[in-house]
Amino acid sequence: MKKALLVLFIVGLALSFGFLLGCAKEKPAEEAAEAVTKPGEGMYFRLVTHGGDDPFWAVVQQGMRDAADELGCRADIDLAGGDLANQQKKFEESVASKPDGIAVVINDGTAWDKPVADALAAGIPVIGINNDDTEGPAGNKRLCYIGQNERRAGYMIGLAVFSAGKAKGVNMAKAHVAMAAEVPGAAYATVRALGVKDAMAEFGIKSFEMIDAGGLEMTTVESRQTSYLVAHPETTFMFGAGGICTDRLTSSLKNAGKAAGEVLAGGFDAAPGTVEGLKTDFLVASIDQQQYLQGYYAVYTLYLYKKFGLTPNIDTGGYLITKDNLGLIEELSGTYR
Amino acid sequence: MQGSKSKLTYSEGLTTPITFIAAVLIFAIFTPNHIFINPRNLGSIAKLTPDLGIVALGIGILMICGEFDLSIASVLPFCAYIFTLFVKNGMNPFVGYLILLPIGAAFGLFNGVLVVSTGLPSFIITLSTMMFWRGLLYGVSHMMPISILRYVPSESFFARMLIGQVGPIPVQVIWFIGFALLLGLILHRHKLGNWIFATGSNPQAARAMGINTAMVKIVCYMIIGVLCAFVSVMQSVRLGSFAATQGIGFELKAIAAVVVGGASLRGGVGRMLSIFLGVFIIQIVENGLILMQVPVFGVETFIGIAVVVFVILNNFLYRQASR
Amino acid sequence: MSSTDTSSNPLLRMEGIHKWFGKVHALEGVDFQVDKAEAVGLVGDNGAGKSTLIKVVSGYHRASKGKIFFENKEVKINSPKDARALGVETVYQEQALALHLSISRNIFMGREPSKTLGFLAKKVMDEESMDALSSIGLKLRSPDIPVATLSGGERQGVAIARALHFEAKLVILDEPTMALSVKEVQEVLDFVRELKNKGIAVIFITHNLHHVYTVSDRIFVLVHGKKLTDISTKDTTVDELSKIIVRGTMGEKTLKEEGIE
Repeated sequence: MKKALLVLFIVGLALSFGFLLGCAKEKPAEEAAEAVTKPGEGMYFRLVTHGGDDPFWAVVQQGMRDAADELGCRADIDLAGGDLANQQKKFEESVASKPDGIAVVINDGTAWDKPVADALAAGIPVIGINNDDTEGPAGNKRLCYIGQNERRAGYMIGLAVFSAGKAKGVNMAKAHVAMAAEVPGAAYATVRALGVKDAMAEFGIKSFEMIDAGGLEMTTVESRQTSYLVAHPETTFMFGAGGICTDRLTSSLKNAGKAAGEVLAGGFDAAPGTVEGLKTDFLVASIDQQQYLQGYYAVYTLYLYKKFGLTPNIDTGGYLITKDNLGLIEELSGTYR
Repeated sequence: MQGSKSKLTYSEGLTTPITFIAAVLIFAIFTPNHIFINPRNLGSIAKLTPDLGIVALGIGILMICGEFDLSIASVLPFCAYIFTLFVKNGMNPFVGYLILLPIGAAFGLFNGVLVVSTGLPSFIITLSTMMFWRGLLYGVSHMMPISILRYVPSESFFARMLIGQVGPIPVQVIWFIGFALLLGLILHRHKLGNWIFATGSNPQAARAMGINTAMVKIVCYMIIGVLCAFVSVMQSVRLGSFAATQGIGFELKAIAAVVVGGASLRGGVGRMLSIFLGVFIIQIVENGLILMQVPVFGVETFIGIAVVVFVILNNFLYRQASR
Repeated sequence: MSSTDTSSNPLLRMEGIHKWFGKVHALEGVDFQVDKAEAVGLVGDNGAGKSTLIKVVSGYHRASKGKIFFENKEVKINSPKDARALGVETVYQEQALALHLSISRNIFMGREPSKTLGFLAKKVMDEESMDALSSIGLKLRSPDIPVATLSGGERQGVAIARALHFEAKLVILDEPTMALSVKEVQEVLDFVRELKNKGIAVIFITHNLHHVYTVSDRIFVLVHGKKLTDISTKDTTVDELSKIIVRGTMGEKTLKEEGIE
């Protein structure tokens, strides 16, 4: 009897899940009823990523879905959650499903060399998105790369924030830079930090410290950033390595008793907290990675390769958002950006 | 012989308060310029700890009655999502809030019924429900952040009720203390509390004495659901948005806080005051270590060590007391 | 005082009790009775059905067939609550007490006296639990000490005091002397004598014939779910009882093997 109840529960849960998912997918069904043949019909593309359940990848997916809707093709995404071995397995599975093209996040300098080469040899087009082999086309056979140059992005935000500091007359020699990262050891954080350090070199700033913000949970991040600021009153510049740290930066500064502009801050993405911070002058600027385009162009590029053999390299990234150009961003924050 | 044993068990209730005081003193003395007791720092601790703390109170009660709930990591953001939808669709936040509390209870009811009717370990059941609701939330929300600042501006009464200040004291900590008092009274001075302890300590004896252990467990799960709903709103208003990563990691942190607070993983043992202090101890250690400029990559290690030390200590006292 | 099984006014009378668990016929037409202030020892080897029989009386199981009379009225005992309402209290072996809870919380477990809104009336609980303890001669320091700190014999005392406090008319003890030291066994047997002195009937289940012999008025022997013998302790000895039981258990088997019965 108990087991029967359990089975009933599970079936009920599965049905409601399926129903809700179906509801979420309603829109494309309505559009397809128009019976106009779309150029990409019948094609199937896969994105194999190391992403997870977070707002960044949600936007990538939105781009992917919109492109797939427009083209009338099918596209799926794998989110391996930062686990390289898992991601490689997903890649193999994708290859086995014989899609019309694969877009893979190349987050390691050597691990993807053979899998990509093998897939290409088997006749499946493979492009790189979001992250690239450190040696670029020389290091990996992917047909082209669509994404942001992380190091350059770090440099851009560093430049923007340090310039603001110079304009205020900050003593660069004595300045201290802190960078809070959700996952300090991860590639995105390390490479962006390198970019910031590039900018530091230009301004003659020497002191840098990376902060472990403790993961993706908002309150932990806020708490750790606040504690750091309280412990290090000498902090002149503060960066968020990722969207969540940047979102919480404004509150952390306020918690630590800083006035707007007392510590010059910047970061990445346009999450709601970040937008507020830009509006209230707590943040100087933020880099919008335009990750929507990574998903969108990935599908379009694979389609265009299939049709015409085209392989463009597209630099999607590094749109500097400041208080002045906030308008459209704010409206779209949380949907397309 | 009886006398010395009972002294030990009484001291079991004192470990956590003593540790709390020790932690406060250590960091007050040893942080550079005593910044630990800087009002800004204390204010920050008081403001941010209740997010985990309020939910941990419920987890503590549930662990006393012998079960676990890992699903809080998903129920919390799910409730936040529902509240955000309410508010975006023009519902008055107070009304949305009042409707959300029974919705939270419904999540708890679901967990409780599943645990009780299948008889399977609650750790596994609630791990499954956690994954189920996370997947469902992902499916409907696409994990996009949703800003609600314009619906619940920080000057509004609703916001100030949840995240404002009373003089230097953040309102959150007042709520935390209030919940701790209310739940503490129920746990230690009410019939239901005795049933909770009995169910955790010896469920067969409890049932033999006519206590409906199934109902007791379901009630505990529902309490957690309501607390999750409450915190989800409090947190969303403070963040100014729904963020899909709300609550990640809470399930294990709450258990750690409860264990540091002296509750036994086996059930039947625990004190509300100690659970309340347990949450603060973990937060204080994390905050204090950063203030002492411990290399920040080492903070997690220290927290891990602290939890293990406490589990060993509590285990030792537990075994001294029973036999 | 008490008489043998032909008393005309028994406190509890069970007639023709059958109990099936699926295909297993655990109790086969058992007739059993206990008088007021009488102590009956219920003995028999493992699997004889002793536990099942008392679980029927205490409401844990429902009899498949048969009638139960309490104070000469027919009753239906469908749950532990029904049994307790009649005045039947059971002291389960190892299952009676929540070790982490205090004495008073244990005594009132499930029946906590309360003030408005269900809040515990602690003073009442504390006073009455100390009274209950002293009424069976158990002297303990305070009602707040956890039961885990008590010795085995004291714990049984608390469980018995609990039964007593709720004005039991019949107290069932399931293996109360199991795993106790010599001194603790004596304490428990003294508690049983106190119960009898107060006019409370006792059913005492055990494997240990020596223990039960010293406090019981009658011994009821169950073998394979059937009554083997019901005999007054005055009319037998421990040795004789052992022989009866062994022969009864072995005898049934041998007879079955021979194809007879």
